[in-house]
Amino acid sequence: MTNFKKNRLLLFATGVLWLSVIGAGMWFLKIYEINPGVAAAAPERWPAETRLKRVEDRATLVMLAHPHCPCTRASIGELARLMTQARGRITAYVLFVKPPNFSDGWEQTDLLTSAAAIPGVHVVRDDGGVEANRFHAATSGQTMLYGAQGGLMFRGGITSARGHSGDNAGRAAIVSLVTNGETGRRDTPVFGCPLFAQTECTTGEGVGHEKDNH
Amino acid sequence: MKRITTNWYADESLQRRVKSLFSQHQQSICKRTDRMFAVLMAIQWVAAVAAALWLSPKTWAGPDSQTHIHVWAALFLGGVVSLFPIALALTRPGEASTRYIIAVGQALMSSLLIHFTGGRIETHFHVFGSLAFLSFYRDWRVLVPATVVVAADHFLRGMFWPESVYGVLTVSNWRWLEHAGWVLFEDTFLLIAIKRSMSEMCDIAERTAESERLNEGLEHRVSERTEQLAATNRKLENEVAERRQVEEQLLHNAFHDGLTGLANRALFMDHLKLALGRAERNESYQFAVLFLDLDRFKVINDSLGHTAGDQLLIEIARRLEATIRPGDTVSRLGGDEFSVLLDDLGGVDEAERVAERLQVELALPFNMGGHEEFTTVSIGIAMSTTGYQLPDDILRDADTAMYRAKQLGKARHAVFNQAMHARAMDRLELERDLRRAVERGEIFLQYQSIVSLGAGSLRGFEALVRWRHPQRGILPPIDFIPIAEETGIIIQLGKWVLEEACRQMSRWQKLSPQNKPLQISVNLSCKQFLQPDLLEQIQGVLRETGLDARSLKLEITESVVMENIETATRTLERLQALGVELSIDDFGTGYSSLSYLQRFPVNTLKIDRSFISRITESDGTAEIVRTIMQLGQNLGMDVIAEGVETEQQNEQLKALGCEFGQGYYFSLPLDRDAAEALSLGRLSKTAFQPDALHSTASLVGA
Repeated sequence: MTNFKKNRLLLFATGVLWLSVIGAGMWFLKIYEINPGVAAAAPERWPAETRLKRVEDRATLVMLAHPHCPCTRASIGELARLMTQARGRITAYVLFVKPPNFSDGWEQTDLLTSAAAIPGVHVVRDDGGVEANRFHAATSGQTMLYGAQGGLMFRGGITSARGHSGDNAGRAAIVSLVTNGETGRRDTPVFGCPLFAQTECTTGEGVGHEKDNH
Repeated sequence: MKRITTNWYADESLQRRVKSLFSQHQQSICKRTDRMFAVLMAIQWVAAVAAALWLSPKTWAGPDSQTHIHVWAALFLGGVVSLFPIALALTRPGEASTRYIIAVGQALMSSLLIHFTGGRIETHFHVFGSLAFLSFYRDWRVLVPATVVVAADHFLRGMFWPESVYGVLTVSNWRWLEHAGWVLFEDTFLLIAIKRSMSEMCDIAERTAESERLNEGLEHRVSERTEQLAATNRKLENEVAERRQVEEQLLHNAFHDGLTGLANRALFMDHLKLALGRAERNESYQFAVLFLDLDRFKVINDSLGHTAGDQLLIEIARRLEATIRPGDTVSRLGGDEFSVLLDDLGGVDEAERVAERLQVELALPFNMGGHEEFTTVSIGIAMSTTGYQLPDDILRDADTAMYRAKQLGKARHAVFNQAMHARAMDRLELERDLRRAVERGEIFLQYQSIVSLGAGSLRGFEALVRWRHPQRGILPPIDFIPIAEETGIIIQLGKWVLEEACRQMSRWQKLSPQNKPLQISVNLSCKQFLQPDLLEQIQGVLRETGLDARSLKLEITESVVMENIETATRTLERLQALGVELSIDDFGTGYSSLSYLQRFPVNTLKIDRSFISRITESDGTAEIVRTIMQLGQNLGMDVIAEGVETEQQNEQLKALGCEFGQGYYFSLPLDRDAAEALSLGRLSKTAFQPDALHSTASLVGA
């Protein structure tokens, strides 16, 4: 075998190895992106103990968010589109969970700013995750939609994957609910960072650990 | 390339060249683009890491955080995607595989970035930007792997996670085709752009190849012209060199002797002029001119031929050059004459020493074609102390001194003095007078009787020429015949003598027809004898004077015959055929060759007077005379004793049996009338007796 052929073979083998490594990395990355967080077992009725004020003439949307979760940036983005598509039929609360040991201002991130800038969205700091626990939320980006009568209409995430913008089943379902009153899906997987530490999550009321295997 | 192969050129070599240029150009572009991508991919790797750090530095779980997996993916997976193409771009630039892997890596990096940014639509621009950058390769094939990767990526994602790629509102397993379609849409534009660019590259390659071909043709022509010019230049240089050589040769020839290479007369005179100038400026400065003349050159030249003569002259020239000092000048003036300029001398003694040295050197034998020849040289010396103004004057005086040396016996040298000059002037004057002497009637003949010793009767006369000079009186032949010989006057003079002698003898014979016809002897010089029309002259003279040829006896010396044997033989035979008798004059003093006596038609031997003057002495001379007489008698020749002056000599000759005599004892040379009277018998026999000598001599004075 000539040196030329040896070099070509070596190059080919290296190329195959290279593509394999990249493919494996991409696969691992994809697995990470589509792996959902813990979905909330949200109350079927608007929790009475919540400090949030439900608007009775329209649906109320509640999103729990970790102020530093990069994946939630996509959820905020999708919320903005959702609010636009809902055309005022929704009053939205975005609760930024602040762990108890963190100082004030820790929650002041670009996410909070972005969320506050969305028309019809109320940003609330949730110290210690009290409200999150009331809605049994465990994953940043967890979204719940309650109807005008306080009944749970939808729960889940409004992104198709971790940190992934674009059309998704959650947003589509909410828009359909507020515009048509019906939808094919009432829950979707949530992709985001855990709102609480592992120990905290496990003690959270109504917080489930099952994964949405959609 | 299609246009090249189908339309333009049938010239395969040009097509190959176009392809080669195109390939080189593309290769160069690909190498540059490879390097550009190496930089670009390194930058975008760093940018990907930076973007990951900015967009998703950490992932959180309540209050806890850790580095986001995107950061690690950007760092490691991005590194893997980037480093392999970068390595290839740096190590194997320009290779097709390199750019294909770069294209794949760039598409993979697009995919990675899109995922990092959560599928932002803006990040998809990276795909199109990458494709645009890949078009820099100007190789449409490089778009294929990039497009395939994009399509495969979307195909796989679309097949397995369609909502993560396209969203749920437009979810479809085949929507990847739409994405791929947009990529192909861009690919189409890029392909068109690349094809146009390649077409322009092809045009450039064609023009470059054509330009190269034209340039090659031009260079070939320039090379040919250059070679032609170089050849012409070489030819011109050769011609110039030849011309310069010819000019140098001409210049050399103008101032040098062609045979010996010595300075010629012109150059010698130039040096002489310079020497005179120095002598004029510096009174203490002295120089000398040596005039050399070979003593026996004519003999060698005539006997061995001119080639040998020339060879001898060359050898002499070499010896002269070897003998004189470096600063001195030796030249060949012509013939066998050489001159030497001895510069800056101490005095005449030094010049004489040089002359002696030259004579010694030239006296050594010369090897002429295997046998040795000897020659001597006569040298005349003229010193600058005489106060010369002109080069010709000092050379003339050196010549005069040389003649003096010759006169003194040859093979010697003589220093010029004023007496020589006076003699030379005198000789010049004599020569001038001699040219007109015949016309003026100053030349006349005397006749010396030739007597039969036994009978005491007159046998004939020898005509002796005399010159009655207006100022100098009567001059004997020895005073003017040599001058006549040298100047050529001898031809005219000899003819006159011959005519006059024949006329007188004819007259005397006619006056006494009853007497036995006398003979008249006339001397012929060498130059006369060698005249081509000698026979016609003699015939004419005999015819005009009416003298019988048998009454004319021509006397020649041995040297005349021996130095011109072939010519002499023919001339003597024709003279004999004419009836003229021939006599060898001065026999016994020269060659005295016995062979020629037998070979040549000679009638008479005249024993030289030197033998007769010693005949009474007991030194064997008488025996020599006897031998000559017996030799002549045995060969049927008459023998005449010259210079008989005494009774004893006469008696001795008679005792030896000598038949004829001539000399003062019998008669001094007589003038015409006295000779006529003697021939007519008006003078008695006693006129031939010693006691009548004085009375006869008195006739001469008349």
